[in-house]
Amino acid sequence: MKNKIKDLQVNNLSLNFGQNIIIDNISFQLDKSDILALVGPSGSGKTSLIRCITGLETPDEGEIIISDSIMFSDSMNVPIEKRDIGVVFQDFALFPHMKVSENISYGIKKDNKSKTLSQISSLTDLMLMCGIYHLRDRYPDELSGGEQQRVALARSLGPKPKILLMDEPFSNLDPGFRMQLRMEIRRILKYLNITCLFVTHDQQEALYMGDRILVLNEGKIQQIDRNIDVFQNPKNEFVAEFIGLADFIDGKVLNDYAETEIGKVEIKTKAKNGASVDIMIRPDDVHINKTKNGNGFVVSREYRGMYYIYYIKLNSGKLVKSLSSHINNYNIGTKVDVKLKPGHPLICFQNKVII
Amino acid sequence: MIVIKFLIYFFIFLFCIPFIYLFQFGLSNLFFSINNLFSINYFQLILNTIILVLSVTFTTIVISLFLSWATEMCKLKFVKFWRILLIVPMVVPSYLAGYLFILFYGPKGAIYQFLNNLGINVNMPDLYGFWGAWLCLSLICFPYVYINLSTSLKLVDKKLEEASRVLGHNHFQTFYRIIFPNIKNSLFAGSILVALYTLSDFGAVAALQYNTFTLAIYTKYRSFDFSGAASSALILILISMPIIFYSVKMFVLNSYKISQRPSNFSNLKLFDLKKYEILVQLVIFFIVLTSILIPFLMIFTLIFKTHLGFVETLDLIKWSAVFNTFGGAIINSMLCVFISLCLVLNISKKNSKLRLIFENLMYFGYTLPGLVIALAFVYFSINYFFSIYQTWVILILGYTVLFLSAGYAPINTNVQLIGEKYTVASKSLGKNFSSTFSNILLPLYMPGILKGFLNVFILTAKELPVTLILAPLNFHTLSTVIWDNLEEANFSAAGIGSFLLILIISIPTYLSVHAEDIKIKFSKTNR
Repeated sequence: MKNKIKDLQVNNLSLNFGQNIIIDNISFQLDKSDILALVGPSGSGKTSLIRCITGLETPDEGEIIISDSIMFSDSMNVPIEKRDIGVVFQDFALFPHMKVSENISYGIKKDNKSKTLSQISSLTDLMLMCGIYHLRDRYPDELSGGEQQRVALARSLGPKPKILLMDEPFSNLDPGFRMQLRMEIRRILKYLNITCLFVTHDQQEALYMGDRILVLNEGKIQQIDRNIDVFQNPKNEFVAEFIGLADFIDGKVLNDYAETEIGKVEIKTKAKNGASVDIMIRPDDVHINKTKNGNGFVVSREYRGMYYIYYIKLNSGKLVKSLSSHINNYNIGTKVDVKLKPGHPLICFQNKVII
Repeated sequence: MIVIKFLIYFFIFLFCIPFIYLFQFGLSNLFFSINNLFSINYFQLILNTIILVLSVTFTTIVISLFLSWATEMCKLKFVKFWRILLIVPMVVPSYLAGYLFILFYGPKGAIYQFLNNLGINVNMPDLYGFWGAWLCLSLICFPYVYINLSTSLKLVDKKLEEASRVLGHNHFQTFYRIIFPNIKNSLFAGSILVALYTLSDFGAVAALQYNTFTLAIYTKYRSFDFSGAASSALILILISMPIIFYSVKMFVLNSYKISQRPSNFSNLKLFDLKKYEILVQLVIFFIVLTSILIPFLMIFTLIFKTHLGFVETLDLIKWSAVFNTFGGAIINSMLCVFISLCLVLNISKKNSKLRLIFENLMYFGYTLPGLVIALAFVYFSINYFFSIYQTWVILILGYTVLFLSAGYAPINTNVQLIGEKYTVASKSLGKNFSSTFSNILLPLYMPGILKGFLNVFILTAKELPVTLILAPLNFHTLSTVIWDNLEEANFSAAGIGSFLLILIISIPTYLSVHAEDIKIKFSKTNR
């Protein structure tokens, strides 16, 4: 493996509010020009972790290192303004009394009292790159949500920070617009090769934005991996359910196969023959057909335009989800035949942990 | 409805009285007595007044900026205690503060006597004139700016501070470039209040013998030079026009705003003063000492000067004065709240011309010195309406013209904040206006009504010049009792009167400053 430059190292970080453990002994690293998506349900400690790295919160224990210089340890606590971090806040926090251009140049250090030519040109470059040059003389309250978002990004990039932290930057924007802005911002981040820690509670957004994903729950790291691995090989049931829809169905192991109530299926496990495991199935692995005497029936359905998500109750009483084309229009109560056709070996869990 | 319309027109007329007085009587005398114009040194008066206004305003700004920074943005011990204590100077009426100031620092004052008893003989600095008036007014006025500033500091989005820190600016740079621009407006609002207070103040300058316009007007009135008083009042109004115009337009309304806290709080750590904390604490203590502890100490020494017991000294005050103070203040506050509600509910359509006229006249009323309004009412009643001259009716009307805007502003803001949606909702559910008003609107307007009521109550209770001039013969309030006794050097009676007056207005003052907190508690218990 190449010895990559580590832009951010967090070692054994802990934070408590009185009796409540907010962050429980977390360690991870962030490589140069990597985007790490930090995802977890609300109250999982995402924001606290970001605030610790920024310096807005003082951790109880641990170490924070940003590109080889210690920012926080037992004996050190570098003040916020000297940490070389860019932050994009959830509600942007643009200075209401400053124009767009003043907002962006606020963080850019002036060598002398007057601006140098290079500073002016870098300011212009930054505004052009973020697509806000035409807005430079406006005040924040005259901008739309998406424009404010881009100004906030440009402002945080102004001082050329070592790492960029984005705290749920899209949560205040309307959903249709989010997709477009996600693409644009990812393009800018990749163009600048900037190291970024991206916080979100939306797993779709995490899968799109992150090169790697860190799943956090109850202050503990559940998994940190490439985005494909987090989706395909979740380490435990929490990650499986949080990143994409998942159901678990009982099965008995027999030579790389398992017998379940909806058919025999290929699995990937270290469990011994005869062991009972919980097999993870995604909705697209479950196929349904309308029949007279099926092994389940439709309990409810969600119409999502191109496809349906059907909720099926099996004869055993187990509930599974199935993704089905929009052509297959089954009413609630319809008897269906449920089959597993994943097309790849499925992964198994025992006691909520992968095996 | 016709009754209410009539009431509104009646008050519009009342507000016009000072202008009739100033421009009919004042203007004619100004030109008629053109020879007298230069016999009095108007130029010196103008200069004295302007210098005092500017220096007091500037000093209160400096003190309040420091205090609000320390109590709202720094990690400070006893901060809750300081926050309560620092609004107390407001309850000391200016005429009382002026006298206490002399009794403490003056040529034969408490300090002098104390040192003399120790055998040290010093000449106390001469505090009569500018220096005394400046110090005294600064010390009782700074809470007006401080309250405004600390409230708006609470309202500044803390995320902005975080953003600035992250962008590489330290605490002080952030304060200067981000926080200050966002609290600038309320700083202006507060300092305009102080400027107007100083301009129209008559008690402190009279006690400390600093010759400003208000004192000159009062002296002329007392020596029966009514035309001279009127023309001086006119000149005073003309020089203060810029401030009045500015404040009427923008700030008086805002300074009484019922504010809403931002919903998402950020717990950015307060600034750690470290070893400088003791220094900051000392400065705050010094301000509290000079503006609160010393005046209160002086009041108590006054009370016990006669070697009478506390109960016996209480008898020096006529209880009718206490009753009059209470009664006058309550009647006037209720009247002001009633008129404000009538106005807000009846001509609530935006851009209504009648409302615009009323509001502007009302704010002019607030910015006029009480002395001028009192003289105008005397002039008017003697010439056109002698039956109400020197009755309590004209006294209450004078109070109302002077203080209506202080009651109107919070009620109006509250009504604007609530909007029309609840009225519409309630009416759509089949309720008529009176049911909607008593069940829905009144509880929602309560914080504003409460704050308006308290504002007017406090101002009326400690009012002096209007009461002195307009009150019926032998009608006394606590403020006139204190004033008369101080002038006649009956210090014990003045002391006990001050004690009672401060007692009466201190609780309303506390409640008024914390009206928003009351609102929050109120809504919590309702849930």
